[in-house]
Order: sequence, then structure tokens, then C-alpha cells
Amino acid sequence: VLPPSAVLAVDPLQLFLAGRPLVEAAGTLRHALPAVDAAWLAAAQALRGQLTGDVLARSLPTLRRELTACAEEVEGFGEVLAKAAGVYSAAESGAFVPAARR
Amino acid sequence: VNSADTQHAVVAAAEVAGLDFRAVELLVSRLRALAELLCDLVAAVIRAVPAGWSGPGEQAFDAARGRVRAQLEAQAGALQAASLALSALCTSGSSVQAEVTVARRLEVTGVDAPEAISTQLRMAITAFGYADQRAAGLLLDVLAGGPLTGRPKLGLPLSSRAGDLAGGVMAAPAVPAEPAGVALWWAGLPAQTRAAQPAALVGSLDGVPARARDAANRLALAIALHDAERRYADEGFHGLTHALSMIAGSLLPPLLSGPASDLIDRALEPARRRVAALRELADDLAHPGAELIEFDGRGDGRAVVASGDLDASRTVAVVVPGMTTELEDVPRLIDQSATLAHAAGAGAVVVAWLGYDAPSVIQVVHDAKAKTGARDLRRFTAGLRVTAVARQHLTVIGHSYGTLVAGLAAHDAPMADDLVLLASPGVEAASARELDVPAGHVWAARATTDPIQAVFWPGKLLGKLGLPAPYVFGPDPAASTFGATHFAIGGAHGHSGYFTEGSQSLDNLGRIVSGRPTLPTDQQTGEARG
Repeated sequence: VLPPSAVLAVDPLQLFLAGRPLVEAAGTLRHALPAVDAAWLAAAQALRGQLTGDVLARSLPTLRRELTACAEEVEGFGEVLAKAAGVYSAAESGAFVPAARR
Repeated sequence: VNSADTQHAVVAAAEVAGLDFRAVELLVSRLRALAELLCDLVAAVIRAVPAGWSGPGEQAFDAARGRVRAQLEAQAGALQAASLALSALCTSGSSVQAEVTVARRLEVTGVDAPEAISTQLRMAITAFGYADQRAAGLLLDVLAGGPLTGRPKLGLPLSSRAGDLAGGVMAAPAVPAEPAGVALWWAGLPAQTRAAQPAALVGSLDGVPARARDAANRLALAIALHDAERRYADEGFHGLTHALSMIAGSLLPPLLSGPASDLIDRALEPARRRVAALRELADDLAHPGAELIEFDGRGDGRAVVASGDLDASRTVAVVVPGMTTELEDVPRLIDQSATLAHAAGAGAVVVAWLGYDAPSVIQVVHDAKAKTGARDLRRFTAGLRVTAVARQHLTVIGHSYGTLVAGLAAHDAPMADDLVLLASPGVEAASARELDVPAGHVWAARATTDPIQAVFWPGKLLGKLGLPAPYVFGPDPAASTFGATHFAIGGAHGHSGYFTEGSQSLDNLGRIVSGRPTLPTDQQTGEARG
């Protein structure tokens, strides 16, 4: 629930637009991950028998999880902005009254 | 290195030689690209502040944005550091593979397999081991305790954090003080970092492989020759020469032309001699095989020249010349090296070691130059021990004041398998036993016609009278009481005839260098037959 003071202070369209680059950048990161996975796996196999090869082999899921979390977090930020924009827009049009005013 | 170490090195070399680092290089490029993507995300997060938004909503958003930004920066820094560590691993692995190629070539040419595991290869393997440990540790650190799993260690700004993490991986460490450390340092340097090292540094570092030093010093020689020629051809000299020639040749009576020309010649002589010596040195080095192990064209100059492939040879002699030797004498020393190498037999390499500032006639009564030279000679021979492909039989031959340099260098630590003292004025030791050389392998000789023996006359005279002997640099190493082994030096005359071709002296020096038995001498008097 957004506080009433925010309703008049921001252009909902600007909020919406601000979130889009975040979602796009996060999407680019997601698309890059499979190629990194493949290279990671190949390097692990190439260095088989060495310490680094072992660590690479064992840590691939960790890397994927970490980077996916990065992408999700940024995407989430973009979505938050988009939702905020929707809430503000609805409030401005009178279709939605924030809970605090009810 | 014992056989277990050698076997381990053989196994490790074979393992690393079989690795394909192209896949790792691909991962390095992928991780770098990924780090850039994360930086793009950081930029997007920074820009995501709609104008005019304020209040608690904006504050909450800003706080959350700051947290995410820090996480992204940390993640990008971690990926950059990991890519650097993996890149260092690739470079180190490539060095091992290059050394394995060299070792296999040696093996093909008949060198025993364990022996073919050269010092450089062992060091390359060691460096690879370090790089492997570092890369593995770094990957574990940044992934297992990564920024998104809650460990609060990644709060530094991207640039400094990446720099900190990468610093220990890629930055060239300071040059170690000792040759063994230098060798390890050099082995661990990426090729591009090696190439970026100043030639003057590489050329003078004991512990760097001879071929690398040779390349650096040839460059320094070319520059020195260019400078010397320019100085010689300097306009002022030309102007002076021309003017005086005109006066001497045309205006003054013929009687004056001779003295005037002499004056000009004398003024130009040092520059002319330097140019001639440098040109001759450059010409000598144009012959295949010779290596310029050290070169400094400043002042009296220093030069260390090997007659062949120094690191590959199993039989090496280092000849330390005496007083007043300077850069202009190096071509003569190179000829002397070639003569001795021939006498020692196939595969022997002789080093003309003017690696110290030889004293002038006035300075020769002091040991200061010898002490400094001894320190440098010790470093040089220690460097040989770590850069040699296989165990070398090393003989150090001092001549005249050079014996004091060599003797002092052998005082505190083993330096050579054999130490030869030719025409020595003393080595500041009461006997051969005070020198850290295997028993029976301190050799001494002095021709009966060598005037250096006059150094000991006052001491001998007073000794006969029962008075303390006032030796300058200690007792006579050629005396039987000193305990050095003598050898026949027939055909050697005066102070500088020990390397005369066809002499017993040269023959025996070659025998000592190559480890063959020497021809005997008169053990009754302790004096070598000259």
C-alpha cells in the first residue's frame, strides 16, 4: 500500500518507464547464462584432475543459482516500479483509493 | 632435487601437458562478458529513479536499490576476479607446456627423461600449482560464500574490490632478492608481463634464464654502441679535429704537425677505443652460440659473455679477470674463453666474467672491489645453479686480482666444484681448507717468471727471520703450505700466459674444467713448473 503523499509526487508513466530497462537488462543476463554454463562445464572437464577443475565441477549449480537470483532481483525491481506506476495511475484516475484514505 | 621430486615433476608435467586450456580461456571471456552485463545492471539500477518521486515510497525503493546495487557490484567484482585467476592459470599452464616441449626435445636428443625435467620446468610446474590453488581458492571463496547468500564481505566498491581480489593474482610481484626467488618469479610471469620488464632489469638479474638475459643485453649493447658512435662522431670532436688538422697540416711548420696530431689522437683515444671494443663485442656475439649474460656500458663497463648455450651446458667455467680489466678488454677475454672451451672439450662453455668493477693500479692494494665483486660472483653462480637445465660441473678460475674475488666468493658458501687460482696475490685465507670447495679441488699455479710473486717476498723474508708476515691478502696460495693442488703449467710465461695455446697450462685448465685428471707437477717444492 503506497502512502498518500506519494500519489501526487510522481508521474506514473515515468515510474513505469524506469522499470523497463531493469527488466530488459535482467533478461539479457538470463539469456547469457546457458552459454556461461556450457563454458563452465567445458572448463571443468578440461581441468579435470586439477584443484580448479574440481571446484568448477562442484560449483556450477551455485553460480547458476547466484546469477539467476541476481536477474530475479533486478526483474523484481522493475516489476515493483511497474506495479507502483499502476497503483499511482489508478489512484489519480479515482478508480483506486489507497487504504489509508478509506 | 631428489628422484622422488623429479618423478613427481615428471608426472605433473605430463598431466599439465595434456590439459586443453582453450576451454578455460573461453570461460574467461564468458565470465568477463557476464561481469560487464552485471555492470550494465548496476547502471540500470542507478538510473531507475523517476524524477519527482519522493516520500516514504521513494525512500523504501532507494534503500532496497542500494542493497541490490551493492550485491550486483560485488557479484561483478567476484566474476572479474575469478576470470583473472583463471586467466593466470592458463598463462601458467602454457608456460609448463612450453617447457615440456623443450624437455621433450632434449629427450629426443638423448638426455635422460628425469634429467630433461629442467629447473625451469620444475619452477613452471610449481608456479602452475600456486596458480591452481589460488584460482580454486578464489572460486570457492566467491561462490560458496557469495554475495547473494548473505555473507557481508562484499561491500566494497566494484573497482577496489576487483582490484584487491585480482591484485594477488595478476599483478607482477616485486623482484625477489635471491637468484632462486628470481627464477621462480620469472617462471610465474605471464609472457606479456615478461616482455614488459625493462631490458636493463632482465639483463642483470641472476636467476633469469640465460637466453632471456642475452636478448635483453644485446639490446643494451646496441644502444651503447649507438651512443658511443654518436659521441665519437660528435660535432665538437669533428670540429676540433678538423681545425687542428688544418693548423697542423697547413699553417704550422711540419715539425709541429706530429705533436698536434698526437694531441688530437690522445683526446679521441678513449672514445675510439670504446667504439672499437663495442663493435668487436657485437661482432663476436654475431657468431652463433655466444650469449651476453650481462652488459653495462657505463664507466669502465661490465660484460659477462658465455661462449655457448650457458643453461644447457653440463660443463661450465667462469673466468674472473684481474686488475685494470675493462670493457675494452672483453673481446680479448672472449677469445681466451673460446681457447679454454676448446681445451675443455665438446659441450664446455666458458664465461668471461667481467661482472665486477676491476680495480685500477692504485686501487689494487685494497680488497674493497674484490669484496663487492665476490658478492656479485656468488650471486651469478647461484643463478647458474637454478637456471641450468641439468647439473653442471662448475669451475671458477680467477686470474691475479680475480683470484681474490673468486676466493672471497668461496669463503662462506659452496660456489663451485673446482676453484682455480692463477697468479694469485692471496685470497684472504690461511689455507685451502678455509675455502668452501671440495677437498683437493682448490687449484693454484704461478709461473716462475710471473712478477706477481714479488707480492710475497717481504712476507717470506720476514717469516724466515721469525717476524710476522705482512701479507697484503694473506699467504701465497701457490705455496705448498697453503694446501692447494698444483698442476703443470709448462709453456705459460709471465703474468698473463696461462691460457697460451699449446701450453701445458691451457691443457691442464681444460682438464680441470672438464673433470679429467691433470698432468702432475713438482710436489717437492710446491711450485708449479713454468
